[in-house]
Amino acid sequence: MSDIADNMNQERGVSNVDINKEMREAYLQYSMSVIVGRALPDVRDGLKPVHRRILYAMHVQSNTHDKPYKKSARIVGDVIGKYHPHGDTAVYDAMVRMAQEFSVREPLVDGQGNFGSIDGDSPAAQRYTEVRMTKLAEVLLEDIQKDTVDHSPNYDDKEMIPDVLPSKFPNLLVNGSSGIAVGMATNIPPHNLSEVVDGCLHLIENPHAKIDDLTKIVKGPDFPTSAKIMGREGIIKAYRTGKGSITLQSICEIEEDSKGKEQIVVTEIPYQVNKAKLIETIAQHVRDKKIEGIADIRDESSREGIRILIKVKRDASAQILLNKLYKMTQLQVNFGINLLALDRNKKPHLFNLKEILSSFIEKM
Amino acid sequence: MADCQEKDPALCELYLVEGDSAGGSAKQARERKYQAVLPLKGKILNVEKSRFDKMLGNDEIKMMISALGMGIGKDNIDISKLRYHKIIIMTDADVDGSHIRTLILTFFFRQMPEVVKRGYIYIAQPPLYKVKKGKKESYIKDDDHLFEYLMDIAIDSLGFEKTKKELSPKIIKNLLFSIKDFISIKDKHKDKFNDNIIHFFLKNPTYKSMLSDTESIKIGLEKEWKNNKNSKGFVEDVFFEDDSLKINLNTFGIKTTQIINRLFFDSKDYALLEKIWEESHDLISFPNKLIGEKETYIFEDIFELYESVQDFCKKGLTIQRYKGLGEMNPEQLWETTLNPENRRLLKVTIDDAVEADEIFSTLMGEQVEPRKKFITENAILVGELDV
Repeated sequence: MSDIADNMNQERGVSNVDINKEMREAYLQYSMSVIVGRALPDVRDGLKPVHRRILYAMHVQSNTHDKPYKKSARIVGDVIGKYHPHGDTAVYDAMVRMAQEFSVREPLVDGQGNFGSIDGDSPAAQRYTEVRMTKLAEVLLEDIQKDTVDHSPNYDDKEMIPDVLPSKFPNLLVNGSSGIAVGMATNIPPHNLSEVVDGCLHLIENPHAKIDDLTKIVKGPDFPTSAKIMGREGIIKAYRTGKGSITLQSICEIEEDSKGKEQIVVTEIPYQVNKAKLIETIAQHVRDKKIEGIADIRDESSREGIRILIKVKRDASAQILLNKLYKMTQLQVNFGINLLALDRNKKPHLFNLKEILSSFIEKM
Repeated sequence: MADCQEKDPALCELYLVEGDSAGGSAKQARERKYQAVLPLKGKILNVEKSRFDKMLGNDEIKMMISALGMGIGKDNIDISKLRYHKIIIMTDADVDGSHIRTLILTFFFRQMPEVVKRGYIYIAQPPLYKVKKGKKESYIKDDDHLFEYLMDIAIDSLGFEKTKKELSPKIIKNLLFSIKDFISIKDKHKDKFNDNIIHFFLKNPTYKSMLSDTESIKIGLEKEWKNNKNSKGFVEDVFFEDDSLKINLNTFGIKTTQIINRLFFDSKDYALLEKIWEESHDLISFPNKLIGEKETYIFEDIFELYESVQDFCKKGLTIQRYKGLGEMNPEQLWETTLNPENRRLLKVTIDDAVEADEIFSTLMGEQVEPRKKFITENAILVGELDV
């Protein structure tokens, strides 16, 4: 009774909504959109919407590898204006990452200018840097004009955007992907292009191939930074079930300096480890006396490659120190593989290796 | 923060605005006598996941607390000091706007439940579309109303070449509305049911109880593929197993299987498809022509009819979809969303406090698993995904 009376008294234009209903609907809308339209890649082309839209915008501007570079801001402007109604920094950051050799196995964007460093330095502003597609990115887009893929209208119905790229190579495994959606996340490591293509060929010729046959061809992840993967167990488990954990260890050597003192030289660090932060943590541990035996630590990296020099005190053992560093710092990390992607109906699905390859082969 | 001049809380309104988008225009648009505007930057803190002291350290939350004037914390809170009896959450009509809304609601439900219980929280409903015809502009609140609006302006000038009965504009309107429903049901099931397959079963209803007669079904489907000039690929194989009809399709060498469970033909959705199909075929014949004042649109079937109607209605109109409050000028914002004469508000009520408590912990809490479960169970309910 009182409800009815309430509604009668209510001023015009006001209607009631239960907090429960409002929360459910608003939250579902947000989470589904993050899952389907933001954080997870499509299994067929390995791209999240923002990446696909960047490549498509470059394609439309014919910003190809055989033509001069274009200002990043022009591409970003096109992407947000025509296809992706979100912030410009999000788009620029995504594009920068596609050009970073230490972030992706096979860059899809060829960048001219400062595109940041493995120390986490930011790239130059988008008005300074220039971009164009790499030759490989064009392979993802090849034949798009031949009605090979479905397109959908953009946010204001004025442009069409491809739902997926024709992708002639299995980009999801080659470049990997990582993203946190709502209630689920993905973390797919990058792989070696020829191994993955060989895997596809094997599966085309032997459609009933077992996962264990495929893991002999696709042997494991191939990271852009060449740290060691310790053991294959986690890899095999991930390829079979979609989930598994692997350990990545930096490449380190113990040398003697001219005075006969031991020193540790790090020449490769694990994927997605920020070198500057790594050194900072080690130094902090030394200051906090959590790690003892380090006389000095220097970053001697240059254009020739990574070189972190850790001088060991005379009374300490380099090997013991190194083991401690592996344990306490990002000199060694765990990489939790989670092969979650959107299937061809844009539904999230945890894939195994065979399913990823066959989804790529079958495409639509 | 832009405060209002009025001091009586019962008359005061506080707009919590998604700041990056519309803080500035809302301040210019408001009625300064009784409308206050507080722009919030970005996504506010999720208080369900944060400790009390961390929450108090957050700038946006601090601003909200001081604007409301009633203090915070079990022992210090005093609702009689609340300065506004209408707190209106105004976020963009996009998915991030939805997220911010859930975050703000969480803050009030957890920290100031009394404010929600007394019905002081409202949600603003900015329009989704602006339609311009000539010089006349109209604001439309959502997709359903847009369709209705389009129908209203088009209906008088619209007719069919061949009809089976005398059709009044009202009947035509109802017909087009049911066809809209038809299309949305069809889209929901498109992964198992492509246009040609739907066509076949609706045209030949006897086959739905003869699913094991795969040979005849295959012949029928092939005919369907041949007749529909828009169809791609061909039917490779039809077979019946596990109580389901499985149809292998080959589209330019890409093989897919559409699996239709026998039970689907008993579902509510299928019954609706059948009903609309029959009704529409009772009224008009297919193929047919849609005739307007100047142009005609030829359509072969019910799917093309829907597209023709859309094209027809949108002729000569400019439709702008509002993604953010920031797309509106201050006057437009006042006209559509702030002005009590025209605005639409949702008043937030708590119908079931226990259930509400649960939903907040599920959606906003630390635990991921229940959230994942909620999403997978409810995913089907979200019709249109905004990507």
